[in-house]
Amino acid sequence: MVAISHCLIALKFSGIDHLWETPIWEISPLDAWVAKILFLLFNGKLAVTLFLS
Amino acid sequence: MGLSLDRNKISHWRSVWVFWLQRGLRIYPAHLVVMTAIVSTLFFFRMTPNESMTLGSSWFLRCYRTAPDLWNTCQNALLVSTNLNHITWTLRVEAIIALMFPLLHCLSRWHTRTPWHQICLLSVLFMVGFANPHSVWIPRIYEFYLGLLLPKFLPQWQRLNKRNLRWALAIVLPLTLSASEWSPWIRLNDLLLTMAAILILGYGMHRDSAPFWDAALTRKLGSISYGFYLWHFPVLWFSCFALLHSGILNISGIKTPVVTLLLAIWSISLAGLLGGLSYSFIERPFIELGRRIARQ
Repeated sequence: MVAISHCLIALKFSGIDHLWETPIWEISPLDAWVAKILFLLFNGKLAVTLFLS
Repeated sequence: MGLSLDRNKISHWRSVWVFWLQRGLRIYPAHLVVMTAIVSTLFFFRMTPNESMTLGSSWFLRCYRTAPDLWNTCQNALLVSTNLNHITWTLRVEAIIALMFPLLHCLSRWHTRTPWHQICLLSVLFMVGFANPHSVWIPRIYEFYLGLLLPKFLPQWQRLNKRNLRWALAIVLPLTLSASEWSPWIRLNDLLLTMAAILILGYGMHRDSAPFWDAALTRKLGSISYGFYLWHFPVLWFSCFALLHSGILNISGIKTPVVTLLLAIWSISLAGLLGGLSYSFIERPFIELGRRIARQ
């Protein structure tokens, strides 16, 4: 799960850089929205937060 | 949780040393091999970003900006720093918790008629974690301590109705997923994650679930999981770097979701393969060495 979440944040989706920090209602393109949902599902939030701290 | 379920009796100083030695032999050899591979790659290939890298996220571009020097490599080997393989922060947490394990183990096995001292201790550990939101390892102590109490409750769980456990999982898991976005409540998120892990373990250890946990595939995945975890980040990062650096994505115009999917399939497969090799040739020999030392 962590591996998939890392794959989801390696690239920008529709130019959105911080997908994990962007609220879901601020994401308009479908691919980025789906990526955000998948990202929540695979729950990489904790790992990413640590990288940013 | 795996460490929490270690039921070895910590009864005297020799067993404490043996425990530390076994944990060291479990954690370090594979970590050092992966780190050597990363340092060698960074040494032989210059990771200089070019204009094609604009598709990469800032998180991705932040990694491996400079080649590591000897001091930085030593710090990473000892887990003082974790910038060479970012996911090794969890190894540092495990190493620190392992140092405290004998004390926490004794406290968790201190039986009284009413478990008030356990509740008080858990509350204190939770508050200490809450007061240190930026610490990586302090909040983990109470999660670990909850796990240590598991063996006490698991026999009772065996008698529980499996449907009730399923209901509990159905409530806790969605809460856990949604809580991942509650950044001000990150400690609550940790608590939910711990509850979810405990429920999954309880569910898994239920007598009706034995076929799943005893299945060859489950055991295989369990055995390669540590090696997979160590390898997945460098495999993903270097694969993604090579892909972006080549400029293929800018020319071909392939959509990001497709690239991400291909990247996931490739990096997870390769990390799985390397994890299997790591278990067979590095981890298992050292686990057996630790067992032999423990028996002497």
